[in-house]
Amino acid sequence: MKLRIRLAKQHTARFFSHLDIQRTLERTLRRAALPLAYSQGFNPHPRMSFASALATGASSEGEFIDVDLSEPVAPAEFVERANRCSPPGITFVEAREVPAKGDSLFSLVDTAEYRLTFSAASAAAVAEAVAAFLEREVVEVAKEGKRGTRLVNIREQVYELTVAGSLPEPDGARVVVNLRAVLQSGAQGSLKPETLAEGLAQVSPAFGDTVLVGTHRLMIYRREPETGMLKLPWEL
Amino acid sequence: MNDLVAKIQAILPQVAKPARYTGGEWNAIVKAHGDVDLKVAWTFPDSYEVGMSHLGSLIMYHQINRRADACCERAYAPWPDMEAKMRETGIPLFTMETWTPVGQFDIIAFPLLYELTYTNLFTCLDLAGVPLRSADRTEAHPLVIAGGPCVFNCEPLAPFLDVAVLGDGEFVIHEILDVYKQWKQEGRADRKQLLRRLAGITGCYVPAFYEPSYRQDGTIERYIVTDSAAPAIVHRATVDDLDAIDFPTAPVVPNIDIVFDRAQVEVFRGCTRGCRFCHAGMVTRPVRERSPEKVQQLAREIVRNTGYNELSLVSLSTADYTDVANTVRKLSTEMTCAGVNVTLPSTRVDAFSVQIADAVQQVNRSSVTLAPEGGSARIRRVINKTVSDRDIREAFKAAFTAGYKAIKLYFMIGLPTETDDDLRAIAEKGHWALEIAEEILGRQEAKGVRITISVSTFTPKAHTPFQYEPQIGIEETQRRQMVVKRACKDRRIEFKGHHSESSHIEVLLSVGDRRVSAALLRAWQLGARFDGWTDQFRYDRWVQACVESGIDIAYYAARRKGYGEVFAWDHLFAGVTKEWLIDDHMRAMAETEVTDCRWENCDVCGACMTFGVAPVLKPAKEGSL
Repeated sequence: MKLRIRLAKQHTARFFSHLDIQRTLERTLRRAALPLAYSQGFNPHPRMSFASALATGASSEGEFIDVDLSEPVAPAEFVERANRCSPPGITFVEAREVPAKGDSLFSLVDTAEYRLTFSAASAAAVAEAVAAFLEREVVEVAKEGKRGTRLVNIREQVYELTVAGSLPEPDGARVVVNLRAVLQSGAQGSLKPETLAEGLAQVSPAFGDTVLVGTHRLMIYRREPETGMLKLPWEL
Repeated sequence: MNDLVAKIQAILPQVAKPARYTGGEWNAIVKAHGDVDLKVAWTFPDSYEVGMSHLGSLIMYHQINRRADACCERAYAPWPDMEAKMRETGIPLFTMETWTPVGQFDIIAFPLLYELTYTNLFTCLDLAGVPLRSADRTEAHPLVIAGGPCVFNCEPLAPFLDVAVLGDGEFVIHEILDVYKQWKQEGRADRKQLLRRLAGITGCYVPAFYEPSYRQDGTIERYIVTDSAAPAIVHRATVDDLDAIDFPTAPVVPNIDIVFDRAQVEVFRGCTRGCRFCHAGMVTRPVRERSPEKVQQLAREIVRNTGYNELSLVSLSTADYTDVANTVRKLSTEMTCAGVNVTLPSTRVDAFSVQIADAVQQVNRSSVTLAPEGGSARIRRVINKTVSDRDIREAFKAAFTAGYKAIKLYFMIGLPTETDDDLRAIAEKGHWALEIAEEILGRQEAKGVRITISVSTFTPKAHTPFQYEPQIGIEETQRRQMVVKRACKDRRIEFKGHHSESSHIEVLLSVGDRRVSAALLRAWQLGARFDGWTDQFRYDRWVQACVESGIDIAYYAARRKGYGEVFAWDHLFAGVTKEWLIDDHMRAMAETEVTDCRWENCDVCGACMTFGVAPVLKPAKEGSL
């Protein structure tokens, strides 16, 4: 039996690296005494696969893993038992059964939705940068790769970008602005929120000293190239 | 959200491995401070990854937290990048559990496992806002205590510690907390009264009550006890029955990768093999085993409570545990189906241990590690490492028969009476391994065999028979390393020589006296941090610190000491009498071995009769394995 599980990673857990998360989840499921299916060999490991790595420091409520079980467990029971044994900041949100022999999660998803928090001089400055960015067909940012630095058109990696809200900071001098961003994120290519911030600064001088202060991943999807429809990992 | 929490959250994304500082681990114990009378900050003077691997800290965390009236929270030395950020933004040293400043705790406890962590102790105290010197602390400051193997000579730290706690901590910590609690309830008046009461507890050493005087030639004349509450000789605290004490079965599970990332069950404490260079084997006598039944029970509970996939049976030499083969086999069979590997941390040099290690060690099958320590049979008699040439050959045979293709060998150089012949005998062991590999695997397959010869420099330690011995100098270390290296005449043998400059400072601190404290503090002021880390250690800083403080490193590190000399640790009794140490040193010079008292006759080292204990061996009850 294979379960596809949605996880949240918040508070102190956002400082865990991708490898830390893998190890922590493995230990959590073992503590919960869930019937994990193990790989063969001298050093057996539970058969778990991860959708995509999230940068250390970012929080998320849209992390996904697939877990193979050696005997059936009701998804709701799985979530309940796992939550009882998970360290603070790691929450199992929902589990659903998926076909045991499907493609790997990593190869299925290619898009991520974020809430990006900026500290800016004014909300208008950020809104102006967003509008200028969306008007362009090409926004090129230098990207360091294995074969040297090359220019990448990040505009085509941004599917949606909207201002979600803003709030003055306690001292009143600056504002906190949230953007909702749907970005390419998968084996074919990924746009990091930091790179998007670079692009915004490039297209609008008003963006100026705006800094990205928080990255929160809301969900991951597979995007239909023709329609732009977003499909949840469970629908794949 | 309070100001400190906001400040910490702001700097965490800017430092390496922020999860080192966040806490939030499974099994971490968070208590409301209003519900307890005593707060202890267990402060490990090294990184989180090292500190979280220390079994003694897990044991003490459990011991303190099992009291309803106390809480124990953890702190670790911040890595230099974090220290810089903390200083820049005015963040004090804070605990993992509740992000509370360490300076607000009643007691700060430092485990001291390694001399090269001492400078981090200053970093921790300074960031906690606690005066470095005991004499400068008032009733408003926390009590600063230290424990662990290094406190058996803590004189270089004497001016900075309020109390050093010698020996097994399980019982003595409760006596300390009870005394502290009473003093606190009486209104925290007069710090000296607290220290006087603590000085009356077996195992507690209050350095302020002891005053050394020195002779013209620089040696110690004597120590005077300056307070009637303090004993002339401080005895170690000793636990006699491991089955009767509580062991942590729900240890804190780290969220990040640490040095020993596995469940640990202590199968016995102490070692009486009698290796003459070994500090641990002298200050933890006698051997006290935990019963195989108890070991199994603890192992099951720990694995269930942590989710670890590896369980290690730990001690100073687990292959010597009475029922090791059966215990390991039973646990291994039981746990393999749940994906848990059972491992032994150290392997004795003989075929039996290699076979046991092989039976269980399913991870890291690529290589086996053996520590003959001395190259020639003669030098092994000098150091009392009772391993014969035959044992070594049998261990090699067992390793290659089991299918290992690589062997790592650990040796020491600079041992007392060592000649170049002894050094060449180290390389010879590598060649023996290759010969045996060719016999067993055939010439063709033996071409892929790798032998690593790793050589460290002998470091004299207090309370050992070799406390009288000098360490060889840095140039001589390099020369002797070259002798070994040149004698390794096969490309399948890899030679690894260790950094000798830091081990020179290790000797200064391990056999240093109270005068060395000035150099230690100066080195920290000059920037010394994490000196046990090769990438952080800088010898020049220490040389400068010693010059400025009038400390001659060679006087401590490179001088042969007389049998009649008063040492800075003579008033601390770790278990072996000075008479026995002198006898044993003489036996070393005569190349005579001494037997292990757990199996052979008692050699009257002094531990059992002083502490009222005896070696405890616990074979399994019939049918339990």
